[in-house]
Amino acid sequence: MLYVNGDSIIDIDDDAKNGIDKGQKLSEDQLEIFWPNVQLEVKNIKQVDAKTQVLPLARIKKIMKLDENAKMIAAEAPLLFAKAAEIFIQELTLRAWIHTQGNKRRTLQKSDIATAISKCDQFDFLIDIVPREETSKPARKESDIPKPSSSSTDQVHYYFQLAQQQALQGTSQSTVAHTATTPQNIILTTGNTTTSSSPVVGNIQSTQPIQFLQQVVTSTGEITHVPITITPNQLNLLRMGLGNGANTSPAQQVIIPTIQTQQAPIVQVTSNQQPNTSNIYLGTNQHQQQSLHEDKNKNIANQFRRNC
Amino acid sequence: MVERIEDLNLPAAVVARLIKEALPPSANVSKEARAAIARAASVFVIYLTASSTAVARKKNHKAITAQHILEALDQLEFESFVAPLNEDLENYRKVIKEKKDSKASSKKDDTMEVDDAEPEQDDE
Repeated sequence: MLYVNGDSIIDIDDDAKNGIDKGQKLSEDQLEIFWPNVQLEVKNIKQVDAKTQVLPLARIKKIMKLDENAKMIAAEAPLLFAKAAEIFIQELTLRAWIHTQGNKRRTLQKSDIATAISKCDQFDFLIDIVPREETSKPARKESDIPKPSSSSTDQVHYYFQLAQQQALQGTSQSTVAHTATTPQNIILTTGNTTTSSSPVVGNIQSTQPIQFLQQVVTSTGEITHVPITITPNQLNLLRMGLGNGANTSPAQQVIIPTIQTQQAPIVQVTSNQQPNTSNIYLGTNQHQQQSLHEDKNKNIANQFRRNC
Repeated sequence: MVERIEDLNLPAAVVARLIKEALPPSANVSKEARAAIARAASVFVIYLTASSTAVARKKNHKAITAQHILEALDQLEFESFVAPLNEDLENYRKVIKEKKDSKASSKKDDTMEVDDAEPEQDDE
């Protein structure tokens, strides 16, 4: 365009010169001044044009000034920002285009941009700016939620702690002297948080009975494992009792007889100490579950990174 | 300062042109995608400003200079931007110098012009 303009102007300029050479029929003086001026103007426009190709500096400066700390900005800064934003736009576009092509489309969609952003470390700061499409969002949630609910017993990790260890940790004062040979009670502690309830709720709905493994220290110091089976109904009861106990009266006890092996122990739920009874603590370890979740998230993140 | 939220968007026409330049001629771009890229670019400017000010602060400098911006880009893993920007910066400095030489009479400041902290003045 500009070239054409320039050429045409030069042509006209020549005409003007010819006109001057031919004679002074018209107001050649004016023409003489006029055409060089136009030429100059066009030349100037050329320069300005090259500049207006970048993003508007005033706008960029305005955006920069949103940052309270950016009080003084060098004159070069908006220019650099404009150029950087330009490169940024094109890079993001190209990365998104890769996904458009991958999906055999010819129209770049917003979802392509979201994918490009999620797959590249550089663009992490944009994850919330260009959210993934609704189609992919529920899919993600589905993968998160059903796992605990569909999980069978092995998804829930129960850690049995011996009463002695618990006492050492200062969380319980129960005196456990020769307790373990004939364990009568199991005390199920869950801490006071309710976060662990969701996976267990899922278990209640499953029909399978839940197996616990009970560690018992005999008087000789050996550790033996005694399996305990709790039916879903019993667990439900336990859960209810615990929930109440944790929230309102810590001394509340729920006693459920279990269909148990030889020793027929009683499952007792309490957050209070039971002096003179043999206690075995059974706690759900939420940290473990949390860390499992974190691991899972990390794996997902790593997968994305690898694709970047 | 900012009256409307649209004031923070980069002009759609320019963004659209930049996008088109980056893609093969047969490519189409949905409206939504264009808006998303423009928004991303705005956020990028904010993001880069924040880290540039951080760099400047660390050095006890008050004004954000080109050097700070280049360093910030490096920190943000946009190091690939640095080389083309440096080139651009040199060009810009050349142009400025030429201008100054031609306008030899008027101004004598030759390093850089620093704007003072009065946003109202610089707006448009």
